[in-house]
Amino acid sequence: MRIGAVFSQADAGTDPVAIRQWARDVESAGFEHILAYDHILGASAAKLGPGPFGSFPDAPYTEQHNFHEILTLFSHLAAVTETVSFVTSVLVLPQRQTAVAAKQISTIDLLSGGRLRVAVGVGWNPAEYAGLGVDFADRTAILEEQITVMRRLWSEPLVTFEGRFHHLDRVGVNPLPTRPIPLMIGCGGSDAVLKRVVRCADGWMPLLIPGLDSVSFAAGVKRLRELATDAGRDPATLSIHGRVYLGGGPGGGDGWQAGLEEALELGCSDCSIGFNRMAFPGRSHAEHLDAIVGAKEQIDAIVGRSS
Amino acid sequence: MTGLRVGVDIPYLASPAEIRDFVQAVEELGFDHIGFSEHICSTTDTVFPGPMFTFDEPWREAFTLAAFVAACTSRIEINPAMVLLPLYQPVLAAKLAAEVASLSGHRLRIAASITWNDRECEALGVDPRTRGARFEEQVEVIRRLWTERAVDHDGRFFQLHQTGISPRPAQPIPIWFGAGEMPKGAVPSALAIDRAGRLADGFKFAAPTYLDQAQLERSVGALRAAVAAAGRDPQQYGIEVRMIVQATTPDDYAGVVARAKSIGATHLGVANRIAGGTVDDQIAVCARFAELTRELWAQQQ
Repeated sequence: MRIGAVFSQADAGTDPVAIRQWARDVESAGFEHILAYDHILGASAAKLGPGPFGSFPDAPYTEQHNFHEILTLFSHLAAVTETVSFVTSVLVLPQRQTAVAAKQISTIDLLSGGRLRVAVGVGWNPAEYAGLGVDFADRTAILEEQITVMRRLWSEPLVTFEGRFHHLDRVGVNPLPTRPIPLMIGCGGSDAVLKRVVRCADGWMPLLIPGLDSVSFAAGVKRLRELATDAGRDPATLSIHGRVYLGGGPGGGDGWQAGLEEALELGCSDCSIGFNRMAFPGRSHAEHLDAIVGAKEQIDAIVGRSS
Repeated sequence: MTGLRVGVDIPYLASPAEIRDFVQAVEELGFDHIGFSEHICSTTDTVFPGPMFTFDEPWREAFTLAAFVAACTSRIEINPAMVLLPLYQPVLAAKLAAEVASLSGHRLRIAASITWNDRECEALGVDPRTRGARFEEQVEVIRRLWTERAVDHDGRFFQLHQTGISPRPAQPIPIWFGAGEMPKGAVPSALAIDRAGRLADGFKFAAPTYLDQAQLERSVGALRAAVAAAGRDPQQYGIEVRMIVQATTPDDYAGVVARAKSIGATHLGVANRIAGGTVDDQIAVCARFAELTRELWAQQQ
């Protein structure tokens, strides 16, 4: 299982020297990847109104929260690192233009020497969609068509495609990536969304909030594999990217070791380690990383025991 | 008038190591800015004469490459040119530019144009017939997103209600325009000059325009008049002219610098993208230009 570190968007600050150092420190501590969340636009609390938003009881972010644009961030960090990979969690794809995202992802793939993996999802914020000129109601249908179009743009020099949301006439994102870019879907655990993972994606990044989502991580993984088998797909072809937070998850209790062990038992390909910023407000991004790096030995012992 | 700020282009280099070597070498040579063009969705047809600028060149998305270049350099100004702005959602363009400006330590100067490729527009969901009007509204929306916490905008193409990007740029990001149809010598039209006079922080002339100094002087005069007519100060307005390395011999490099200064250009760009050869050959082309002209760059006019 590959272990990565979560880049805490809201705490990272804007000092580019510190941000580059953070990435180098993650790499030198032996983490395999850096994972970061995506928001382009924030809306005021008044505009957002009361929740829930997806599984969130209230809006987790407003226009006051700092967010780095993740694709330019990853391109920048790729230039100052050598081995660490980059994972989006999740790229809110339907609110972005497909060919722009496909081109940016292929550009990063080539500039980083194949160190980008993407998890895409539909997000939760209708105001963000509105600002980007995309109908929130169409988000899942758009996402499915986008995955088809992106994969064709990544593998064919010239693409012609007539769909519900895309009209491409002999265009291409030359130069093509040198490899198939791994594409996961990040989503909850209902049958409808897990079937989409089986149908469209290389893997599943569960976005489950303990205590708020009705589906547990273990039940979701079990169900995903059943659905894959039902659809005639070998469940082993679906990677699963888990996540644990140090300092207690939103569900309470500092059970990250148990969370990591569960990810191993469930056969996850990846697990990212984050720091629960809500439980320790005011800690800096560097302090988050200190905690994550400080746990590395224990993480390695747990992961190593199973291998 | 202060001296001339001189820059070069990133050639069509295939590997990230070559890009890094090139940009670090030209920064070391003392150049002030580095430019690069983009396509999002290339097509196999082209408006450019000759074998250059074809589908097969390794095009990059401008902001993604800019972010990479920013990490490889520390001083040089980063000038994606031309950013094909109508292809982008303005909110995304504002966000991408703000990120690159921040990561680069405020070294970003955008040069934007309305694009020429209808099929590229259509692939991005943009009606090519309205791209000029769309472009003008984009510039307005982008500048507001850079300066206001939560934006309300109800326009012809874009609507925003109490939404904003965070963080916003700590300094203004210059947006220059460029325009000119290649088959017509790349001379900007009256419409393009009027638009740039009203809305741009500067104008980046297309490379071939320096080949006709008299026409270039007329275009610059029209541009300054358009800036003044918009109630703005022509003295604060940037003008970049360019020089194509394969169309000018080294014994005329000093003359190119002198002619750029004579029309009041603030910037000179060496169009070296298709000089050819290895990355070392390409660096040598830039080094030769710097060697022959460097002492002229800072001289007062």
